[in-house]
Amino acid sequence: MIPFEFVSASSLDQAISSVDHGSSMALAGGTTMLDLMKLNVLTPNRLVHVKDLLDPSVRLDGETLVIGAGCTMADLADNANVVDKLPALRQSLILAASPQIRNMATIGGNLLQRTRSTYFRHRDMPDDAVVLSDGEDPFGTGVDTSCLAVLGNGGRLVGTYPGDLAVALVAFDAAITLQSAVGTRSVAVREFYQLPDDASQYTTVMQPHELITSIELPITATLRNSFYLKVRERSSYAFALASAVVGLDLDGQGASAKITAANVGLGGLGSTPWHSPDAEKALIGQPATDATFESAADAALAEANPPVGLEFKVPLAKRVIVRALKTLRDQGPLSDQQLWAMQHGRG
Amino acid sequence: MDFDSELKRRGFLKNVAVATAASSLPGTLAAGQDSNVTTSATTEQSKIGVSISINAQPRQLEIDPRTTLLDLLRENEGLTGTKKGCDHGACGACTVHIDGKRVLSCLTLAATLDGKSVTTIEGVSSGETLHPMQEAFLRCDAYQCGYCTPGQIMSAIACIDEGHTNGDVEEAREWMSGNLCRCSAYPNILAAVRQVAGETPPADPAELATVISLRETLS
Repeated sequence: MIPFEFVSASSLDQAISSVDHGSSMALAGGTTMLDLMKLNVLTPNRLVHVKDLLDPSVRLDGETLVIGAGCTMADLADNANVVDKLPALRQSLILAASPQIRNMATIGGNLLQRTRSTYFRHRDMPDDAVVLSDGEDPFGTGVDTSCLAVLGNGGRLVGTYPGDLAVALVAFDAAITLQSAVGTRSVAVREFYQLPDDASQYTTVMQPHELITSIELPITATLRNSFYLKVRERSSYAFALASAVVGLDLDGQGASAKITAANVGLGGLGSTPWHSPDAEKALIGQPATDATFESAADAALAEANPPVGLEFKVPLAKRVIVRALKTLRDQGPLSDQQLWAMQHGRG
Repeated sequence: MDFDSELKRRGFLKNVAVATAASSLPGTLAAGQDSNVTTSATTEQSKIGVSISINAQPRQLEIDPRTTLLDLLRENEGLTGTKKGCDHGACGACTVHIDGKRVLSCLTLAATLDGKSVTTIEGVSSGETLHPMQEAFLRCDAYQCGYCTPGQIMSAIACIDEGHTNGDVEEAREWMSGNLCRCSAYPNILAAVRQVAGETPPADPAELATVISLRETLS
């Protein structure tokens, strides 16, 4: 790590005025920040400790869950409202990282984590690096390309957005509140992440001297009846090869039920946390049959453009979507015990 | 482009970067040592004062801002029970408790801990009396090389406090998944955790194993 100045800001206003997300960066939970600083990928001159200044609370405001940016992943997962009413939100948290990391990482920082593609987070690769695929395996053989995007890549090699929580947030249309010296503004999470048009990973609309202060998540019927299915190379403590968050509002039981509302998001596939309006369109108004689910999965992956070696991700993602929808239809929201049994190979 | 050679060069540079980071121990000035990195930050590091309770001992410390809790414990305080595995939050070997919660000391800057209480593996026993989890790890032979063991034990103690060991066996396995064991002693680690949680009676798992002879089976 290169030397830096460490500042414990005395107020949120002071932190906002001194953090430009470039040479002067905010430190909250530190789980990504320290990792990347040790690799000299991030080399800020100044680190502003903001964790104690960010709101750690989670509260219900009518039918909206308001999550303070300083809340840890563990505290959000264990919040009574989340445990009781919001299955996919809890699952997206407890299937991410490890218990130790979830005790440290804040929600604000979680949303901003960088791609896990080792190629694009290497310190020799500048932020705007572009690698063009010419149909040959561009990295040579034996290199793990599983963190390259198959959706939203613009026909180029770009890194995936690695997180789980943001996938649920885009699917269920949450908003992010950003605070600056002139006040606050609200941005839909679906608008917050920008496709990497000329960069190697996503960018956000967050400006210098702005900090995430809270997340607002509307509690809908589909969020109450939801499921997050994550497939990885091992049963725990790994990033998603493919994941799907699904929420269904069903009128009736089983395959004859009519789908009145649906939300679908995908993880481990897109350059940004991926919302699929096409899959939702294929579900809404249809009977909850396997055929409906398969057509929704086809719609979600219709634009997929996998780099060489990642063709497997397209059928994998489709099967994840279909399995998530079937599980939700047949079993309803899963308990933690059912989730662990499924993750560890019993269910 | 020759991608193979490019790849090797990148792999080499990455290893150099990791080695450089690991050599930036407290007290040494890394600025200027790595010619690939330029910074306008002050080269003369100002020390930061923090007061931290470590294993119930209050400590007033002057530290380089770059010092992680892991390096502080091992290099400054001589508490080498906490292990440095990956130093990047991928293995759990450096797990300690801060204010009673399990965290990774390798990804925690000591400068952020003013007023906090840290408990390490050295702080869980009472004198010569081992913590029940330490006893259970001995009883169950829940290790092979032992390098991950301090982190496993710190995680296991927290896991029980959190109430994550009273369900099915998969639940305990999941909530212990932040600690890797490359010797793969997982079955016995899990047995130790379940025994201390009261889910199974204290016993050496080897005593419970049934050895079946192929000859007997076939005859």
